[in-house]
Amino acid sequence: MGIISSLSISGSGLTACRVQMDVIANNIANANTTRTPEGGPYRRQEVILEAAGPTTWPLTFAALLSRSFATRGAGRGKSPRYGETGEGLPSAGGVVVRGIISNPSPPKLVYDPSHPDANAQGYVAFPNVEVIKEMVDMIVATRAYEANVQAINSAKSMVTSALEIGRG
Amino acid sequence: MSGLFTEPTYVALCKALDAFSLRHQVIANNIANVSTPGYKAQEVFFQEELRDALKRAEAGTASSSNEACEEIKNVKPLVGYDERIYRLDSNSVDIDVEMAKLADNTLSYNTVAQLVSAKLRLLASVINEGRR
Repeated sequence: MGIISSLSISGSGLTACRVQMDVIANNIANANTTRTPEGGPYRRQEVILEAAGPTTWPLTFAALLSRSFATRGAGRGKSPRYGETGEGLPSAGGVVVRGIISNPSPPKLVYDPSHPDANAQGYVAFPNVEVIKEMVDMIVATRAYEANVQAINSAKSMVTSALEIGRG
Repeated sequence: MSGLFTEPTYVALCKALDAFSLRHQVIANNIANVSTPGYKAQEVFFQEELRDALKRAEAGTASSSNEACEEIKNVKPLVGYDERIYRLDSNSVDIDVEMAKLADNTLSYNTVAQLVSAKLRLLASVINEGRR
């Protein structure tokens, strides 16, 4: 409960960042791959992320949600609060990787008749991978990974200080 | 006369620990979902309500300290979310704000844990000295 379950939330964040990094590394490695087993050039792969977990916070805290504060904070541009059982609240269990899909946008055509993979018109289809975009995504994934690690360290520090209560 | 563990300050401290722990979960969830399209950052609101309950407890008389504790126990932290959209993928998590909240929440939790520890040590020393 509480902080201990937040470790699994942060763990799911770490997994999602790692999968993103794997996909980015694969995209960069295959940025110039013109042939694949299924035919055609390599297609950029993307990760589908989804917020996961039960739709209410743990029952001990779902019981703590109060109806009476529904009108507060309205002036700060925040949405109204939720009721006692937390119905309609967004998910509480971290993030889950729903799948890895291929980007359907068309490949880049480069005119090079001497290339072994050139088509009848002399164009070679190169992957739809932009290396600069992959580098930017890599920075985002790295920083997100570090942020999740920081969350885990904070949870550990909080649990350690809670264990000190009553000692001595 | 309030009992050993029904003093308003102690009850408020324990309530704050619960609320900080919930807030950590919410912040960890926000950080894990920093790249999820359409995800809305969540927040925990409890500090104003707790402060009001404490003010009411302090203003009250000794005979009503049980009601004061009940009022503090009834303060419920609330999870709500922020509609502001920062990014094209409709994700509203601001990672810098979340990291700052994480640091602040950890410090607050550790501080309150130390305060609870100090209160219990006080009780322990009173009990020990009373033995002699």
